[in-house]
Amino acid sequence: MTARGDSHAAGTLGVRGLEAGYDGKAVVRQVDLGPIEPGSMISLLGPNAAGKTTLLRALAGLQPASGSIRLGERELVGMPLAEHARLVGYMPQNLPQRIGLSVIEATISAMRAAPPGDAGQAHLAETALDTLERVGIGHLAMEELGHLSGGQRQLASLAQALVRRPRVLLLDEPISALDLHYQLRVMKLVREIVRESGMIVIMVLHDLAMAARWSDRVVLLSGGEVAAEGPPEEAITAERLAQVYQVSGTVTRTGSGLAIAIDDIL
Amino acid sequence: MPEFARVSIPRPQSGRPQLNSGPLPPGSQRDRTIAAYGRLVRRRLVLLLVLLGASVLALGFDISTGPSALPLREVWDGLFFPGRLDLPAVTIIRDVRLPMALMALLVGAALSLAGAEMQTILDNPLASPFTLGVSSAASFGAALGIVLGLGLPGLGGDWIVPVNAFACAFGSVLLLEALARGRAAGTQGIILFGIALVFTFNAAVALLQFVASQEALSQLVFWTMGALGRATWESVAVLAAVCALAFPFSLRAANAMTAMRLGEDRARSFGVDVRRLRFFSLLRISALAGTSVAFVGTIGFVGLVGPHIARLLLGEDHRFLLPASILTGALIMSLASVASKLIVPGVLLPVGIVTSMIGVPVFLALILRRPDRV
Repeated sequence: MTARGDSHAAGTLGVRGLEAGYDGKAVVRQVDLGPIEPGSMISLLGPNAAGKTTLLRALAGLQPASGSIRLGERELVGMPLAEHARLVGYMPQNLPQRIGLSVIEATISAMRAAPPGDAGQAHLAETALDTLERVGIGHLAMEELGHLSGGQRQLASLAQALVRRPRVLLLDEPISALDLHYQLRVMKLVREIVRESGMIVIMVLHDLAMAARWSDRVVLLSGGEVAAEGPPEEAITAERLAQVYQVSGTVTRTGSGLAIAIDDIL
Repeated sequence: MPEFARVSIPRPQSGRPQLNSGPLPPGSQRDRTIAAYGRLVRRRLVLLLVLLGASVLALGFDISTGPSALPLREVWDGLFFPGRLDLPAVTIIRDVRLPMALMALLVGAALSLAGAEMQTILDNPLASPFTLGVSSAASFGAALGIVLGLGLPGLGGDWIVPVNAFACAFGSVLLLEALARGRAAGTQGIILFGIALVFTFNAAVALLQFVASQEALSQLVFWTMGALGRATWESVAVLAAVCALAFPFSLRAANAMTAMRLGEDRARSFGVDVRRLRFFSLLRISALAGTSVAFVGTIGFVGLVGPHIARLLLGEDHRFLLPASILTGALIMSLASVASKLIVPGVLLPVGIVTSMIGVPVFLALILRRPDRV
C-alpha cells in the first residue's frame, strides 16, 4: 500500500506558546513542547485539572487554541478539521458506546467518516482487518461492540484511531480502563508501532511508573503550565513530585524504568 | 503473557505509518472474516429490498381496504389500466384512496427518518419528533395559522399552515439541540425537556381551541389526533417534494452519522464537522416532521418505532439504517392506515390512535430494556 498524498518525511512536532481553554478562560498557558522526533512516545503527566486533557484536545484540533503547533512544515493551528484529522489521530478516554456495530464496521466507519473516497468496500474491509489483526483482535472483527469486554473495546478504539494512519496519535488515558495484562499489552503494541512506523505518540497517563517505563520523554504539567520536560529519569524526581503533586516520596532507577515510592501527602 | 501475532510492518518510505500485515494462507480466519463481512453487507441489501417490497405491498393493501373492499387485482388495474374498470371504481382508487395511501406512506417515511436522525444527533434512543415535542410545536404553529390566521409575512393562503408548522418545529428542535450540546442536561434532561415542550405546546393549542370558531375547532380536533382523511393530491405533492429533497442529503450524511454513534469526539477526530452535521440534520428533521404534521396532524410513535425496528434488523451502519428507517416508517404507517379502516368496520379511525396503540408498548419496552440509558 502506498501512502496517500504526502511525500514529506514525517517531520518533527513542535509546539510554541500554545494556549487553550473553555469559555475564554485559558486552561493551558504558554506551552512549549519539542521538537518531538518521529517515532517517539511522549507522556503528559500531572495532577487533576493540570490541563492534560485540554492540551491533548487542543493538539487534536478539538479545542480552539492559539499559538503554534507545527508538524514538519505544516501549521496545525487553524487548519480545517478534515485536513487536521488526516494528520492527527485521537483516542478519547471514554470507550466506544455499546451499539449494534461490529468491530470491523466501527473500524471501517473511522475511515469512511470524512472520506478520501478512494477505496472500495473490499479494500476498506481488508485495511480494517489488517489493523484489527495488528491490535490483536482480528478474531473479534465480526463481534458487536456491545458484546466486548472493556479491554477489548479499548483495543477496538485504538484500532479506530490507528486505521486512519495518523502521523501523530494522541491517546487520552489509554490504559485507565484496563487490567495489568491489557495495560502492558496496549503499551507494548503502541511502542512497537511507533518504532516501526515513525508515528509520534502523545498520551495522557496517570501512572508515573508506566509513563517512565514506556515514554521517551515526559511532560509534567501543573496548573496549565509545563513544570518539567525531559527524559523520565530527569523529569520525574522526588522534588518535582513534591512540587507538582504535593506528595513526598523517593524515585529510584531500575532496569526497566523508575521505581516510585510515595510516602505521604505534604 | 501471550504474544500478538507477529506481522511484518514495512518501514514507510514516506511519512505515513503503514499497518499492513503480510499475506496469510488462503482459507485462513482472515478470509473467513472478509467473507463474513461481505455476507453481512449483502444480507442488509437484501433486507432493504424486502422492506421495499413489503412497503409496496402494504400500499396496495391500503388502497384495496375501505368501505367497499377492492381486490388487489382491481387496484392494479385501477392504477395502471383504468380502461378495464368502470368509472366509479377508478375514481375511488385514483382520487380517494391513492392520495390517502400515498400520504400514509410518505408521512411514515418522513417521521421515521426524522426520528432516526434525531436519535443519532441527540444520542438518545427515546428521541423522536413526537416524544420530544417537535410534533406538538408543529401543531401549535399550524393552529396559529388555522385559528388566528397568523403566519410569516409575505405568505398567503395554503402556505401559512405548513410554513408555520415548520417554523415552530425548527424552533423546538434548536432548543433541544442547544440543551443536548450544553451537556448539563444529559439523556434524562433532554427527555424531560421534551416532555415539557409537549405540555407547553399542547396547553397552547388547547388555549387556541378555546378561542377558536366552531369551524376552526373541528379542524383542530382532527389535527391533534392525526388523520389521513384530509390528504389531497396537493399536500401529497408537497410532502413528496420535501422527502425528495431531504432523503439524498440525509443519505449523504450517513457515514458521518455512523461515526457520531461512536461518540462525538471520536467523530470529530475522524474529521466530521459535527456542528454542520447537526445543523443540517435538524433542518431536515424540522422540514420532515413539520410538513407531516401540517398535513395530517400529530401522529405518534412512528418516528420512534420505525428507526428501532430498522436498527434491530440492520444495525447501526447509517448507510443501511437511514434507508431502512424510511422503509419501516412507510410500512408501519401503511399497515396502521389499513388497521384504522378495519378495526371498526365502516369507520375511519384517526390513524394517530392506531400508531399510538402500537407505539406505547415499544416505548415502554425501550425504557425497561435500557434503564441505564434513559
